[in-house]
Amino acid sequence: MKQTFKNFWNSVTAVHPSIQDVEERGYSKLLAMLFSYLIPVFTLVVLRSLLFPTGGTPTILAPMLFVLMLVAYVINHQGYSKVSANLWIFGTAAIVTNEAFMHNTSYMLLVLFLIFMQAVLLLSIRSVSILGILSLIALALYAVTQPPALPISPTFSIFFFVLGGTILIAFTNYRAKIEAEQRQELLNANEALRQSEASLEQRVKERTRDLELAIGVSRQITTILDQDQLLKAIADQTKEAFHLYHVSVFTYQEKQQQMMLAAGSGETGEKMRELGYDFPLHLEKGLVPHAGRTRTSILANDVSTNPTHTPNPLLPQTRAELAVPMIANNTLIGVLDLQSDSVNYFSDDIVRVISMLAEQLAIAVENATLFDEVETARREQVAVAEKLRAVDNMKSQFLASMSHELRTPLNAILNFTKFVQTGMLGPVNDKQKDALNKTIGSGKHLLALINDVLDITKIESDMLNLFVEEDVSLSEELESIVATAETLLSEKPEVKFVGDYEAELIPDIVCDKRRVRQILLNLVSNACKFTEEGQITLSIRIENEMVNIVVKDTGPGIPAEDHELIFEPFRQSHAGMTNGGGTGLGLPIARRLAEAHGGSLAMESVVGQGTTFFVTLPVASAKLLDMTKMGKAS
Amino acid sequence: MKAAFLYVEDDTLSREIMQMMMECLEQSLVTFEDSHNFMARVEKLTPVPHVILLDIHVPPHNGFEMLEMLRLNPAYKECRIIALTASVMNEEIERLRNSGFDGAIGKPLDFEQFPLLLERLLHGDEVWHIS
Repeated sequence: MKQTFKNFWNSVTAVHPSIQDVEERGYSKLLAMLFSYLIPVFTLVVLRSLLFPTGGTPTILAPMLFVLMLVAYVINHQGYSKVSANLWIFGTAAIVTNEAFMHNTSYMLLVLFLIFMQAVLLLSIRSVSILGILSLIALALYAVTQPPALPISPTFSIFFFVLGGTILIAFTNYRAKIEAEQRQELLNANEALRQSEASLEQRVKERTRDLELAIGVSRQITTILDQDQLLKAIADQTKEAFHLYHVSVFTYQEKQQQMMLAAGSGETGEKMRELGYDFPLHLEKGLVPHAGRTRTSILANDVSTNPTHTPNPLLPQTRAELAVPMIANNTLIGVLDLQSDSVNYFSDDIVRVISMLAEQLAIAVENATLFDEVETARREQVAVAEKLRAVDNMKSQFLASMSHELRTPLNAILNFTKFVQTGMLGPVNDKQKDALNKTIGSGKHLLALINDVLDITKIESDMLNLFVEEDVSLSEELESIVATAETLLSEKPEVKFVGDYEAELIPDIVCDKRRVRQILLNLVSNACKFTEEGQITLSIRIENEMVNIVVKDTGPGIPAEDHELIFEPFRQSHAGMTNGGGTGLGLPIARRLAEAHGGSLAMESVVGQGTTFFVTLPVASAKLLDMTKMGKAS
Repeated sequence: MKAAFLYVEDDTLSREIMQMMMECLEQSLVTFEDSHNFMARVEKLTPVPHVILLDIHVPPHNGFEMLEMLRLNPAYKECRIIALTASVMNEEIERLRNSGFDGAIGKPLDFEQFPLLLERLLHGDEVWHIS
């Protein structure tokens, strides 16, 4: 029940949603409540006068007021609260005045006074004044035209109106004064707001400018990778951007636990750097070590009152100093020290901006340090590589000249001996001839040894370079090898040489012709050397782009324990050694040469049955083709 | 067939051997022991040599320089120019090929092979006989 009434009341006195202002909403609510009280009361009054007429001239006062309040209520309900209030006040005043004239009832004038009181509460000053003037005119007319009516005497009426008028005027003045004061207050508040807005704007502007300066400095600086140049640029550009007196950059030397002056702005900075300004981190005095120690910005906005500031004779105009730590990845990089020639130069905003700048600078300095390290490491690497290359070159040079120097005397030894041996220089007896033959044999062995040592040294130091050619006729090479084999076997009729291949089917290959010949010659001459009877077979098959060459003999064979040994430099199997000859390098070289071609050399052997060597070589591998191109380019 | 040979070689013994070989083969041979005034001396030779054998390490102009001088003179266009060298490493031979020699013969000279090589040379073939 209570709730229902409350809801009903709320809906009746609801304020139109178009009214936004809080004060105006309260005003509208007040009116609605006023009418909501009056309407039921007047409904009863009107009903009573209709049901129980009192006789005499019927008064239309109550019905007119009833209609007026209904209209005013509706208008207020529609959101026009001011119109509604004016209509209500002026309307009631008019109806009451009319009633007073019509029925000469002066008490109505008292009602008029009550209406005034309402007006003062509800209407604007101007409306109240108009109502007041109209009412005074009405009163004057009433006093002049109407015969005095009981029970109020004209004297009392005049007294009453003078008093009422005075109170009204005083009240109106008072209200006007209060309103004026309120207006002034509002104006003042507005002005204050405007001013604070302006100063806020100014601060934002200054802050933005500082930030822009900071961004400008850091943008220009982060591109510099040379550390000295970077630090000098930091000092100079920070000084310029923030109109400072002097800027120094200290770097933190972890090992020595000190702050070292790494750069300073202008010529003073250079001078100070030459003099060397290093502060131990634990130093009591000085903002720089303090900032480094605490890792926070240290500010002395008036150095004359700051006990930790140490004056510098080179910077006599310093009045304010700010030391900001530069920290990157939680590591202290150094301290940025700023000095101004005006007291209180460093506002909170500037300190904040410079702290941000210092963070950026720290990262830039760290980058430069890393770059420095990388660059130094790279340079060292290059130097080492160059040294190695120089050593390699020397080695290669040494090998080349050794070979050259040994071959020249061999030329004389071998060929002079040959001249003597052939009898061109005079008759030679058989004994002498035999001795000379042995000399020539030894000379040739020496030559072979030189070649092999040269080869194996190159192989072991990875300096073996193939001279790769395209379209090498393998069958031509085989032909010359077969010829050699036949020469070697000419004194061994018990050994037969069999070429198990069809020359037309053998493709041209990509290889170092000399080296391939060297491999095959080595295998074939070994076979010829060690085989005393039976046969030596040379067979060739092409399979999967590989040439498979097999050299099979019926020699003494190689014991299993020697199978790997024979591919090691300067090692020979027992048979090899007893048979004499050979350098012990032929097979290791042959295997490495085959491998250098991307092929292989393997063997199988059974003692007493013979030995088989398997050589594989690619017909044309991409790697070898590449090497021919490189050869052509150079 | 008798041909004119020029051999530039600073090693006395090597020159002597070549002399003996050419005598055996009945060819005519002129030898220079260095390369001073090389072109002037070559130009004085009559007839123009058919084959010029150049040692590489000859003072003051090495084999490559002599080759270049000869190649610049059209009078020696028909001349076969062969390097006769004890430097037989692959890189060195490759350099000889790239510089435009008509061939190379490695030292020590192969007593049995040498006459055959000369024959091939005079026939107009390139000869690369190293070992």
